[in-house]
Amino acid sequence: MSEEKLERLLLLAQTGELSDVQRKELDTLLTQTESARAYRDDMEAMLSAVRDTPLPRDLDPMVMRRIEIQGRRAMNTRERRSPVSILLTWRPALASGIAAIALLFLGIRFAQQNEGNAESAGVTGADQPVERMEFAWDVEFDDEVEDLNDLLALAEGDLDASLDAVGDSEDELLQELLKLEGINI
Amino acid sequence: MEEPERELLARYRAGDASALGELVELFRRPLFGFIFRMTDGRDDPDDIFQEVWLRVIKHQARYTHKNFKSWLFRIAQNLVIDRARKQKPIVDLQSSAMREEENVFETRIEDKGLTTPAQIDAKTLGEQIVAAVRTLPDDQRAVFLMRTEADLPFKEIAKIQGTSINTALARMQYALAKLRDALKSEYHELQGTTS
Repeated sequence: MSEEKLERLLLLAQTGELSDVQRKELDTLLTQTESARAYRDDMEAMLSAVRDTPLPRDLDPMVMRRIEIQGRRAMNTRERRSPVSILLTWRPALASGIAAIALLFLGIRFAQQNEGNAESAGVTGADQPVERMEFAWDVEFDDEVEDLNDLLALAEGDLDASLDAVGDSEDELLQELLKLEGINI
Repeated sequence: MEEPERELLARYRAGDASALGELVELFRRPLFGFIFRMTDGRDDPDDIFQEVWLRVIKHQARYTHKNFKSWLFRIAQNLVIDRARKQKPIVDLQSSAMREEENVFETRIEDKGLTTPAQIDAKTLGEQIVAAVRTLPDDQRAVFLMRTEADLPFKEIAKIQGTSINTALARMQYALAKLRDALKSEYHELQGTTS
């Protein structure tokens, strides 16, 4: 087995990512070959040296404090968010939705109105015009027409009386003029 | 058995604020180690660490991945890459970061009273390996550090890097080969101290 393949198997063995076949292959090699064991020990020593080397400095404790404060703040914000405030967060979407519903409602109403007008126009125009007109006019209007006729009749009667009076006066005036001329009727 | 991070995240989601602190503490060392060594201590690793967790807090409601650790390191890797892209190489920051690290390390040895030659040698050797890790290309270094700092399996590393498991393995092998080359003498010394 090549050194490269051995190293690959050793690396995968460290992370537990070997298949059963690979595991058996590596175990056999490590059992039988001294150089394979030495290679494994070298590699592990190098990785351990890096792991065990301390960092030049540790994290600033203030960073931990700041993270905790931010975490607490985010949590409080989440708790404060009531369903209403969540809705308000979506104001633009909410407003659009309401506008869409309103437009839809108006559209339906308009369509219904047009349909009704078309229906009524069809009936009055052809089938039963008189009945539709009677239905359309209010009954009180008939009474008002009658009252108006009565008034006209009264007016006409007065006029006739006036005309009769004028006629009488004219006759009397004519008789006076004829008398003056010496003519008697 | 349920992973502790899933339980802690569930507790935090349920309103237990202290669970977040425990969660951050659980990943403090591996995550900060990964960020620090990926950035060579530049670009303020503390700031990147904080930013990783702020993103976790912000997006935790949408988190549906099976592996929380992978998610965490994916965020960290993306932030490190973003910072590196924005960075302007005006001065030799790598060497200055190395000098800074050496100075801090010397201070720590003095503080802890590590004065015997054997202890200093062992520490120096470890530091030399870490210094050699800095010379690796970013993708190989990320794989190497995700293995050593975070103990992530190759399947998860491949997902984080958006590549195949074979590519992730190959990057690890290239990294190991380069480290062996760079540390030939020290590497054998290390074998002596660990065996």
